[in-house]
Amino acid sequence: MQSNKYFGSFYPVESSIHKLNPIMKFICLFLFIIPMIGSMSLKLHIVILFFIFMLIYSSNVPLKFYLDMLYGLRYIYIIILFSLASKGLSLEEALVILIKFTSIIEYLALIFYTTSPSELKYGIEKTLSPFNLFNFNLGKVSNTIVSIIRFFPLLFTTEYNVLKSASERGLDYFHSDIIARINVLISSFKNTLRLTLEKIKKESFASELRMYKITKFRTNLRTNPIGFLDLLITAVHIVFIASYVIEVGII
Amino acid sequence: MDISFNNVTYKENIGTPLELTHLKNFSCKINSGEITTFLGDSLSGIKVIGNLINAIDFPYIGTIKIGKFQNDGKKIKNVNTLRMNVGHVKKNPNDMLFNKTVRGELSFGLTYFKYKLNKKDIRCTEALKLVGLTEDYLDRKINSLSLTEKKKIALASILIFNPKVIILEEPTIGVSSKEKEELKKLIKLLKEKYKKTVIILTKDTDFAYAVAEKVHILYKGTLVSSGTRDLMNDETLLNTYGLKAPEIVKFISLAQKKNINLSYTNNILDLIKEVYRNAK
Repeated sequence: MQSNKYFGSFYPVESSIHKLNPIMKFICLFLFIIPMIGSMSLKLHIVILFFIFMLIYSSNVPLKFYLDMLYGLRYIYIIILFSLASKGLSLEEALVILIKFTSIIEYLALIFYTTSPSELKYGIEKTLSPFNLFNFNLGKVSNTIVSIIRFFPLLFTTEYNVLKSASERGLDYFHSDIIARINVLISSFKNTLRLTLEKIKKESFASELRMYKITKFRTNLRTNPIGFLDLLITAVHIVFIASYVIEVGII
Repeated sequence: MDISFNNVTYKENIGTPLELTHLKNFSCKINSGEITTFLGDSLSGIKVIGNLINAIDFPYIGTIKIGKFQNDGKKIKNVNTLRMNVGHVKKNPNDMLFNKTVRGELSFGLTYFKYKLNKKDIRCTEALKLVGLTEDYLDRKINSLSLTEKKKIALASILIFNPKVIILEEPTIGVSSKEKEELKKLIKLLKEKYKKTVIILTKDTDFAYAVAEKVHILYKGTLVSSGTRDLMNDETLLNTYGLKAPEIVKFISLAQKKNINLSYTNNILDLIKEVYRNAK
């Protein structure tokens, strides 16, 4: 019973977050990064995390998809905890770093679950468009970013197909114990990786065939217009930055 | 190897907005040595039958008995014995083929089932011949093959380990009429000479009419009708469930409406003979 809960895959349901303008989503992402990098305020990070969970709730993507992702990263959390403890950080600082990590993962997941691949490409390209002044090949840059993002869900889907086929022909995964499963994954990984890279290449060709010229600026995609909710969410992000600016004492 | 579905319900993406029920309280029996066809459109649920028989997917409710094995959601011991007895050829060969070369693809099953390992090359060649390809294909890359060739390789990769049950999922999609005829002959050969149980999951009623002995019609995950091939003589029934009546049946029905007495047959040559006799 395959599901779409792989990081980077689009979850096609109707929701207010799905209807947001992709350019505004990426502008919000850039605004979100500022307090994430700079601020060390526990209160601000708790508020941001609460805000992210409100957006998650509005996205109509099942909460367990987001939580499963955190569960999948449980070993990384343990490693982070150990490294923070070894550096002698206070409990509050350690907590802030863990919340930062969680917020970033969940925020990215929210964007990927609610933005289709073509909107993603369009959003990245338009958000980076100020760099056109420096004559950057933005089409190629956004194509590469989307290919990297699409790589993981494609890898998981391909892996699943390979495991099913291999299981049907004697290399069982679904009825095996954990050691046998690891063995199956190792034996099938080479083929999975090859097939995923082939698919990425095909997707890239397909988007070029659909007039996505990586050497030229792209024609406009008819997408969700900027609405009240876009402006409201952006305003909340600006409030977070303002809070950070007050925290560091610039104002 | 008899197969039976007992009140099987199968769902996907349970507990999410994308939840989809493929089968609802589905029960049916597939007898050993017969050619059984499951007919239905793309949302009828026929596409999950292969994976359930092969214990790749598990039922949400109910059980599937495959010989001495039972798929009820629990782990199956010696699952490879079951899989060796059931060969499943998928609709899209790209979902099945994952090795680099044809040789690698064909010998994969032999390697992991540890079946006739000393005769790998001979069996690869024989399997290719059975699907109408030559041994020149052995060293070709899977990527360089056309869709039809890939379909044939997918079928050969199953036939090579000699399963008792062969499941063919939409075998006629993207296949020319000449290749369809070859496939019909192969299915009949598998049944008559090698005593195989063949299960065909399709919406191609023309193909099903030519080869099937038993027919099950599914609609929105529910079994709506079961019987012999004669079931497909009922145009209204097929149309009700989104299926097209076979061309040969349409022709005979039309003739009968014009008071020309033709009996139902699935052989076009027999039909021509009968038309000729009537004309006389």
